[in-house]
Amino acid sequence: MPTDNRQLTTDSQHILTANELISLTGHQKAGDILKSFDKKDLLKMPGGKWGIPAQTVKAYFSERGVDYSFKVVAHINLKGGTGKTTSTISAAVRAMQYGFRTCILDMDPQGNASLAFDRIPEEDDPIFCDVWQNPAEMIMGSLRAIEENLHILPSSLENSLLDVQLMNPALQKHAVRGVCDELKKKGFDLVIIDCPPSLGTAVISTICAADVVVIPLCSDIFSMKGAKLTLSEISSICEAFHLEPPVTDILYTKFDKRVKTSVNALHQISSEYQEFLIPVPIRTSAEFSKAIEKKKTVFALKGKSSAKEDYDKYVRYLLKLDSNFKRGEK
Amino acid sequence: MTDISAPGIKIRRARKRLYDPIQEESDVSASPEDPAADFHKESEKTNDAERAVQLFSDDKSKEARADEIIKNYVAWSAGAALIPLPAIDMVAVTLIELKMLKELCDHYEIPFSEQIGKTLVASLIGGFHAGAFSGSLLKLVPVFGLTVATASIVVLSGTLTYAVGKVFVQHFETGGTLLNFDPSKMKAFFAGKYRDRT
Repeated sequence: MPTDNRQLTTDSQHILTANELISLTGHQKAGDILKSFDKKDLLKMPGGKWGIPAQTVKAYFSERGVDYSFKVVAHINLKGGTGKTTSTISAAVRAMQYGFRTCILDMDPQGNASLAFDRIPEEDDPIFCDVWQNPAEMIMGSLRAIEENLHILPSSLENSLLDVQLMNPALQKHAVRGVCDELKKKGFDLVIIDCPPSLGTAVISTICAADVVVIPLCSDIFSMKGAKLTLSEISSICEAFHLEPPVTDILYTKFDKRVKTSVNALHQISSEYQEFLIPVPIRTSAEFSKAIEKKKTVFALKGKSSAKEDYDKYVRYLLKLDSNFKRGEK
Repeated sequence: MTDISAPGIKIRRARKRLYDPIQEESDVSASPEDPAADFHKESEKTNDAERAVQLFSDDKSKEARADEIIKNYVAWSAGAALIPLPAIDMVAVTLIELKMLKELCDHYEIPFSEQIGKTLVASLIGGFHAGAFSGSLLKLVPVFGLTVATASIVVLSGTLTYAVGKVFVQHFETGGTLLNFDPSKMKAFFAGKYRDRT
């Protein structure tokens, strides 16, 4: 166990603890995994726990074959209120903690992902509709830092202008892709896109750029219909633009085992969308609203919670992390 | 949460909402009472839509072929820069760029006018060509001047031709023609492509 008493100097709210990391690596105790690190690469946190900064996690994971190659993940459902924004912000924070240099593209004119991090743009701050035409020059000066390795391109109502700017299909095909390519050049490992609940040009352009599309879905009949439409539109858009379809996953959110309709919906989705369904439902939890109220994500809240546990599993599934670790690894 | 960094860039938008008036259109359009003007606007919209659909279906192969055209003319441009006569080399490069523009217009089935083409190319690369032109004069200095000027102009002219080609391809890909090409709007994109290449 390291004895270095260097104190946490960063104002980061999202440092991974050894206890959190062992749930992935399979070590028995936090002390076991801490032996793998140089003391100087760890941070002592209030309460005597040891924090593992994202760069240290990245070095450790890279040695174990974790794939940090660039990916674009989009959360899309044509129906609103299914958990797109919550999934985006939670996954982005967890991925950052796991060493992925992550950027959130907030494409939703409502700007809820920006609000969740308290990064609402001023009137003269650039947003996606200002950036896509010249990403090479605009993108880095337009991002807002949340953490050293987590940035956001915020959104506001002005992003609704995209529907006019991207009227030409050739532009739809390249707008989001161009920005993502630039982020890749700037050293980001992961772009997570929060889309509006509509089939506007922002969503079409995102589908053209995404490597993975995740459709958050809850138990009501409207969001089921939304998922069905989203799936069929993804396929039509890719066909029309001559693109390989992205990997498509369905994430069941707001699962409540006490509610019969929720359990029935899970069975229905499991049978209808077996090949798409991520085997980790996100359980309903008061932690989400508690976190949003404080303009934080669940990973910034203290203590264990089902919300943290479920989004951790989701990110591990999304980024294929589990396959790199054998349970009980020393 | 504390704001770790504010964006380094500030912008000013002409329009904030879809229901805000479009300034350019209101300046250009004829009076609303003129039915001919309405018909003209409608038919322009239809043509744009048709062009978009056409581009949409085969833009991948079209863009690839356009890139080949550009590459071909980049080589010709670099070759023309080898002409040991000052100024003549730059004239040759400009003619090659015009020829490339014509071929790109043919490729995108867009009407080409030599006069408009000359004006657009000149206004797009004005500052860059002036630099190249003065560099070309170095060829008057025997041996050392000739060698240095030739080497630098080979690179410069190839780069300029590449950037010119890319700018027009981008414009044509989005449904534009020579008539609605606005060099002032494309300068930033041109400079970006120029820097990419260098």
